[in-house]
Amino acid sequence: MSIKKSPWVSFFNAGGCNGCTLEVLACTNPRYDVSRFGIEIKASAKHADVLVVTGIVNKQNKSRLLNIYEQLAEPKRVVAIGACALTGGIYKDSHAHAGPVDKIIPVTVFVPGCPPRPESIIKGILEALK
Amino acid sequence: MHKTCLFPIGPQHPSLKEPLFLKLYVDGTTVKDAVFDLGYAHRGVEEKLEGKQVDTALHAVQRTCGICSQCHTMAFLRTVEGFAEVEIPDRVALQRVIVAELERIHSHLLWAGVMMHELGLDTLFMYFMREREKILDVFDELTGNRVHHSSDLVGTSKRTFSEENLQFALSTLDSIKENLISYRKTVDSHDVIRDRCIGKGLITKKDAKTFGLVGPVARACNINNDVRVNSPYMGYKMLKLNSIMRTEGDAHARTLVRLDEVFESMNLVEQACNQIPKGSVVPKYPVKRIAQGYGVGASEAPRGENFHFVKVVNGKTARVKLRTPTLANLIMFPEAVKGADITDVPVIVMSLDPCISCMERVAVVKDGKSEVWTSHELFKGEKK
Repeated sequence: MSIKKSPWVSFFNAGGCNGCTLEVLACTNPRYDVSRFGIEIKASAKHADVLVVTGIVNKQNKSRLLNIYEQLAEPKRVVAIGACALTGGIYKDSHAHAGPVDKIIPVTVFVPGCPPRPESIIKGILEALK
Repeated sequence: MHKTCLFPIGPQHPSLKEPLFLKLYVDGTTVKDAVFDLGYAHRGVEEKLEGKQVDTALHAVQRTCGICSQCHTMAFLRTVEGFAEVEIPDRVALQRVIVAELERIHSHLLWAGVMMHELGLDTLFMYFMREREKILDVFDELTGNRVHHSSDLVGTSKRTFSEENLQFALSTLDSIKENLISYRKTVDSHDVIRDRCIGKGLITKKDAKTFGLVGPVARACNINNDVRVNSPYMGYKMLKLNSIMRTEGDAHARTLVRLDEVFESMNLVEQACNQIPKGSVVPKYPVKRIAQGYGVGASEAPRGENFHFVKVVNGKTARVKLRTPTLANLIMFPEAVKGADITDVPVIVMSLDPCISCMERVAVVKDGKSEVWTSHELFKGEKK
């Protein structure tokens, strides 16, 4: 079963610098207003259609991310946001780096940027529905 | 004999924007003990900063925190320019202050929004976020970036703010001022906010002094440790600044201190825009090579004193130590929530304004097994 509209989104910060977190949060503000697309930020991954992941995945976070991914409802869609989630960014060679995200869980859409603008984050989430 | 039970919050939780694992030991609804389990946002920032040229290290320093990128730049540059004896022109000094103060405004508005969200007042959350978005527009106009501003280099800035840029900043501040005054009035007089904040998370002046708290948390306890006042740096030497102080030391006092600081920052930006030398441009090239030296420097981040130690050997950074304000304040978190009702915990934790991501330093994780390192092993950096 696929959906066309109104994806519910769960958000997980897997060890980012807050930059991408803020831009995801900015998507909910009155200017970008993701409610236009029926997008709602949900607390639990069990209620969500799309999981949004930001940040390098560090070693302590890895099992949490897998845990959250397992809870996600089928079909599982994951949007990785920001340079850190895509490749590790400037923390690529860091001792704490266990990612990038697509090494741990399958990713549907990648949104590059440090951090990406809210417009591209919204586009990425909608793209994941296709 | 009552038994306590564990109430876990996090690391993924809707009210936490950052991964933090909060273990509350509760008896009924009273918090008996609290443990903050960290390490979920550890990225190895300091390790990443070793063995880099100063310009490259600056790039990484700015990416320590997404909320207070400029204050890390300021502290790092203050340290490097201090020991390398680099003079910066007035224009560069004031440009840095403008970005730093706008950052304080955006940080406090974001915080106020999330705080209102914790209190269940989502309309106010949206109002604060709406005003904050306009500040991000100013960043976009001035520096070209919304979050990581990256506007400075050693001894210079990447661009000269034009007259139109500064006018845009001033007119934006003017346009949000009236709204913010009315929101502040609401926060001060709203029954729900007053009932849930007054007397909650009380920190006495004595405790604040003993634990060495910094920033608005300390200023709400009537301790003035504002770096901008005590040891002015860069453009702050040219500006007139009042510290916002309160005496109550509870969550409501901290809220009002931050909101009043927004107006003080607006005042500083206006002063800086008016004082900025006309016509002078910033030096075209940064100071390229800094070969040797070490020093310390501090800047006032939105959350308090941000302290940097930088050591450069043979043109490369040998050690960069960052002590961010949340690290100084974190010691008070378990004390502040002890004895509180569990429903007040989000409000109390939020009122202390944690910024976990820039604070995470050491995390030794090996397949969930605990491990003990002696001081000798830590110093050597390897375990026998």
